[in-house]
Amino acid sequence: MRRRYADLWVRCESVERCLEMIRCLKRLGFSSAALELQGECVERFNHLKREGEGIGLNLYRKLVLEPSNRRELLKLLRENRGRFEVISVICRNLETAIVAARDSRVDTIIIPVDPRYRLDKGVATLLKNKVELPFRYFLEDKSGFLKTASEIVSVLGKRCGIIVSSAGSCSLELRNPRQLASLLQVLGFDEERALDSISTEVTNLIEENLVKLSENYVMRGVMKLG
Amino acid sequence: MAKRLKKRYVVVMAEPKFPGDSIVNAVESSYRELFGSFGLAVSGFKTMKIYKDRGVVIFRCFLKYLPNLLLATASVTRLDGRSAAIRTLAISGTMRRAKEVAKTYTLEMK
Repeated sequence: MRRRYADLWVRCESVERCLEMIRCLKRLGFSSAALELQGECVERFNHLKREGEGIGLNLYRKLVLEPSNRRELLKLLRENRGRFEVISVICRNLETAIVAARDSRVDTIIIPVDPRYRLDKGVATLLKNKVELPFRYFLEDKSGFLKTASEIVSVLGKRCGIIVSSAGSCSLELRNPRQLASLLQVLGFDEERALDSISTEVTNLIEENLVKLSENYVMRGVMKLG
Repeated sequence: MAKRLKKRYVVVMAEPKFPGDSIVNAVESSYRELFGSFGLAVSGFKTMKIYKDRGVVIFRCFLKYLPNLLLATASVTRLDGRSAAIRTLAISGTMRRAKEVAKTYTLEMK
């Protein structure tokens, strides 16, 4: 069966630029994308979603949190979980990294370049969520990103899923699926697993969240039937 | 008997349109920056064909080093001092197929 690729992080700041990116994503071979909406795009998501469906691209809402401590993270999760299909947390310190790693309301954690905390086996054992590697970070600081990413892959790669997203805010920052997957291949993943990181890992995550957000979902393991 | 190394031909174009020579220079320097001169030498990297005015280039490398070449193309953000991106049009096992893709693309552009 043919792979269906999904870009888990596309940053939308204006509607016009977002529409251009949606067309570009389709041209590059993606079939779905999660949009981080900013400014006027927040109110016009339904319009963007319709435009996307028109060209065969499924769009979902994504929230990227960057809390400074545990309390702020928990407050933001409590307020926003029901409103977004995907929630990612940028972990600026070890405190937020440990909470975000084991909270089931978080979908992916993003470890910034040169995080100033150690990613050791202790963090790895707590990790329940997936780790996201934004390609934009690579474009901004190649050597710093590769250093952090190789550490993430060697320590966390066997224990949890790794996802590569573009995190682009204009069409020139987007890359095609093979180019995104090549990042993990260079870091030591085989081709299949590298391609999974932008297809099955992402689509499974979104499907699980859509079930959770549906009206029939009661709690973990309990669904209303009929 | 010596094992023949498999090769792959990668057809790329720049967005927005740029001359082929600029693409070649950018990809080669990007590859060198990421993997070093030794990496570039052992990868079998070679520019096979430049469609000068159409901004399409065909590169060749050994199959083992294909991810490196793709990452090198993906890491290009500027061409001739302007923002740009390099897109992969096709990855092929034969030069004939790579040329077909490049020709089809350039005809579409006309």
